[in-house]
Amino acid sequence: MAIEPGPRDSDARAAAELGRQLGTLVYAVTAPAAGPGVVGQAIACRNALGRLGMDPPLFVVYDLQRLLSGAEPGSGETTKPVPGRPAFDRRSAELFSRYAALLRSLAQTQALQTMARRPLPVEFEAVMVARMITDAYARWAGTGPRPAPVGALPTAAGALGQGPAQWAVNFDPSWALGFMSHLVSQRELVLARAEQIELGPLRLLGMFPGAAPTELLDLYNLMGSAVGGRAVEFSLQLLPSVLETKRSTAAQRFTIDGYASVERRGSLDALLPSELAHDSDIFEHKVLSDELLYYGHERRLESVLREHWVLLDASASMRGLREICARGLAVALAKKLSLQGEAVSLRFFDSRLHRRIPVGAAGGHELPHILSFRSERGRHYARVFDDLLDEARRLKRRGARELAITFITHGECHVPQPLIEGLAAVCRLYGVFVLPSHPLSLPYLPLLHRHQVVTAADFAAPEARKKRGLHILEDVARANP
Amino acid sequence: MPTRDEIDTKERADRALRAGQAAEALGLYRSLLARVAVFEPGLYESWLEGALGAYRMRGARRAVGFIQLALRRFAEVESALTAEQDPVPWALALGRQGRRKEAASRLEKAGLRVLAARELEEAGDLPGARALWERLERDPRLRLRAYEMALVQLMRSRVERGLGNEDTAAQHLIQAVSGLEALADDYESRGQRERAFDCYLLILRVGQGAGAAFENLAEGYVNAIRILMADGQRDFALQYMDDFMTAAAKRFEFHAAATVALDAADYSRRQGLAFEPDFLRKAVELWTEAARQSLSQGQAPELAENAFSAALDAATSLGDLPLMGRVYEALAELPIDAAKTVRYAALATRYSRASESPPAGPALPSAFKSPGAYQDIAWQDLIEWELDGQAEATLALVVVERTDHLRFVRAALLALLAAVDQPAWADQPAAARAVIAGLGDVEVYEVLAPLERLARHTLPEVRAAVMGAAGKILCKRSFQTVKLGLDDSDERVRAEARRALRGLHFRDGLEPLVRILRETRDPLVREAALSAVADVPILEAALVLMDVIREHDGPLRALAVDRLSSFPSLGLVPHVRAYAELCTGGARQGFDAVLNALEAYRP
Repeated sequence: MAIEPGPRDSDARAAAELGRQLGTLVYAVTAPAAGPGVVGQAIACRNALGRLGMDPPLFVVYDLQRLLSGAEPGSGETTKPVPGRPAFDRRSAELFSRYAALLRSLAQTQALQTMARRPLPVEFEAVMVARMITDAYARWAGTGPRPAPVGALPTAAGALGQGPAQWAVNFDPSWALGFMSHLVSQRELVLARAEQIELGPLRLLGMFPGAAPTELLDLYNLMGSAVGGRAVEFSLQLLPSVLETKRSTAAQRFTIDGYASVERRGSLDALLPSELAHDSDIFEHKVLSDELLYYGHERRLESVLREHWVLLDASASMRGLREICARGLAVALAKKLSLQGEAVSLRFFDSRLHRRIPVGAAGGHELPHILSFRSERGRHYARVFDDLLDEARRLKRRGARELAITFITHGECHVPQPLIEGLAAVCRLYGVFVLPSHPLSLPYLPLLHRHQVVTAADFAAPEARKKRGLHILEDVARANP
Repeated sequence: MPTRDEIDTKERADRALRAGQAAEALGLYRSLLARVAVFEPGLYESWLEGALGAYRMRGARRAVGFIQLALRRFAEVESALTAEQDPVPWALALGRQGRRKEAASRLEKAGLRVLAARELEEAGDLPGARALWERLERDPRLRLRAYEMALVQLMRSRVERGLGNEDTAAQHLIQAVSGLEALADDYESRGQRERAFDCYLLILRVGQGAGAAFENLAEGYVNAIRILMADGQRDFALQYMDDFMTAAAKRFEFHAAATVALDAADYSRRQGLAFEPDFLRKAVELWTEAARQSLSQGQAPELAENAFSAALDAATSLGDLPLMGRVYEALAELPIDAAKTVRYAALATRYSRASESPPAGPALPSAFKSPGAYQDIAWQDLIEWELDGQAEATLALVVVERTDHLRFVRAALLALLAAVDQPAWADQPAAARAVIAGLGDVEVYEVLAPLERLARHTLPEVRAAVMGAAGKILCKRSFQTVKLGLDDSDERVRAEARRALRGLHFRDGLEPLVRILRETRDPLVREAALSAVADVPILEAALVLMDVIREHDGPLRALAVDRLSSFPSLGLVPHVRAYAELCTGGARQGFDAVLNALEAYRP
């Protein structure tokens, strides 16, 4: 049961905590004299870390965040006096030097050097910082009771305009040296974590527009999860080819965009030059009988005529490689179908049909959720497919769009046949069965419009895996004319 | 060694028996037989022999039959009991003599097809058993009993497989598993997690079978673990995780095995247990195995790289730099992009130079593993449904089959003898109380069904006695009966139910106790529930008491303060301080009082 202080207490505590944290910036090694904007960013980053259950001193967050932005760490010079910073004794001077050395080593790691070249939203930075200090923080925090967190610190407070030195006068910052000491003692682990930061998720997110603001915990889980990370790799192998998919187009007669077709109707300026080569009699005859040919111009589809639901089994039966393969495939499939002009949505199912996640132009921010979602229920396919049938019938009654459903599941996904029959009657139904542990024997298979089975042999080589993945995507796309 | 008193009593009883004073002898023997926890070889049996003689003298054939059953002289039972009156013990005795088909025939005549099918299966008569399961599938009593129907289908599937009818077996298995999935979901939605757990356990057992689908094994295990964790059943949760990890690895499902090893490590850490390092180390090994498997199957080296990266992640969590170095070495040997292998090789050199690995942590000890963690509940539940709470039949089953718990067998026999003394005991409050008290003394799960049936008795005296008995059986299911009693229209029943609630203080009972504490508006029930919570000596119980201090006032807060002040768990002070920090007024005073008491208590 959580313990929450009252609102007034909470504001006062946050203000005091802000001062206490700002005071620690006198220990910052990377450009400690930065302006309030940068400090505000560091506080935003620290607030985000708070949402991940981490509560490190602000100066550490500030330094690591600055490293991610490509800032050079200082030398850790301890003899030079810094206003507000308590004078170092020999031990703390040595500690400070070792802290600065740690930051310099971090700055040399491949992941940080790569990231320093690309600006990241603060949520992403927070996740990177969290990944770097995760083990060190866990060892520092232990499993015992912790004081209740203060909550988010204000990032737009006037307090940010004051220098850390002033805050350090009011709030002795030396309390933060304990964490610095611990961090330095865990140097190898911090470095190791930085070395292991995978940029795959960032690259994947980059392939989806609108991916910036995302659910922090999902992103963190994605970066740290063995399953999510592998699914990212799988998606990344398929997506570059998927992105070559030509956006679905149509022809038009307005004189905009490039030529796309030859039409029976059009304006004079689009008349095929070869038509002018006819004898005048033949030309007149063609004009009167509407047989002249004109260039048509490319026109983007303005209204989507097909809806495609990609259903992804999230039940425990998918544990392991099945889950990885299924999610990678689902992401690539959803992207391909949306590029083809279909309105694609992705839904998890277990004993429920979970919320619809649109995977269109602005669906990228859901990617971490898709790749790191973990079911908290058992499976109940009769219920799920019954609900699905209801929804499909509702859509059909509205009559606006054609519907296609692709479900990605395992070899023991037993759905009552009448439900499959019902669904097949109202939509194109496609099944993808991932790594069945036994030869597939599902009585409803003949009722599906098409199905595919992904086996271990499909992972034989990178090219084969990619080819197989793409074959499935193409097959699903073709199955929906 | 028998005590002086026991020797004297036995001698007096023997003398009375020899003198033909059966009633006096029986009284003395019964007083001895009440000492169910006497384990000197032959001693309790000698008392049973004496009681047998006394009953014989009185011509109490049923009592003689039941004692013979307890003495496992099954040949004698047939002549003492009649198949018409006591079909279950009669047939059990026949079955134990190897005459299973006769036993089955008698049981079937009595309408007990589940027990009959079991006898036939034991006899190897699978076609006969199949006929009985087929009939049960059509049994109208099962039409509205989805759970039992799923169990029957499971049984049918097993028998069909035994007969070589793979297709029919698969068909029934699918129906059974689909039914169990639906039921588990339904139970969970209604908050009946124990029943949902049973369904997942059954799915798990389906997955455990030779050649069974891994998907079912994973479905059963992962959901069972989820429920065990939610219910705070730490030891079982860890056992299941450990077992699932092993089972998955045996089936070469290394990804799944490694994932559960990571889950177990995380859970151990959150529970403050020392097994995190060991589970992390196992995760490293399993991811490494996954990588090797991938390479040996000629799969893409990137898949192996992924698995090694996961191993690296676990090794880093472990803080084992030399181990990280070895994983990097393996990564450097992969036929992948040259720039990557160079980097991996450099990192391998760097970490291999590290001093020493941290000391290996302890593995999950066998003491954490309960042999009864995977009970065959399909049989248990079907038999329970079939017996429909019949006390004598249930007790006879306990006498014959629960030989692992001698004390319970003896208690069950005593309850049976009490029932035999007054054949119409259910209609006579005094006799009913004796039998019901006897049922409570058996203290095993099986007797809850008869108690639940008796909890609907028209006489409040009987219902009150049921509450007393239910309070002795430390199972979560006991709370269902006690809750009925708490809402009873008769104050005598309610009082007994509160008393029973007060006694149900066991680790797994914390969750239902807290639920009652939160849901009830009756201050007396709250007090009883809180007192029971305070008697569960674990940190979670102490946290409940702290919540009560924070959220309530008056006598309930005072009780919580009082009980928390003498709470037996160590390491409570920081938690109390953390709570105290955020409280004002009476709650703060309460926490201060607790802190004072705990500080004073500290040696």
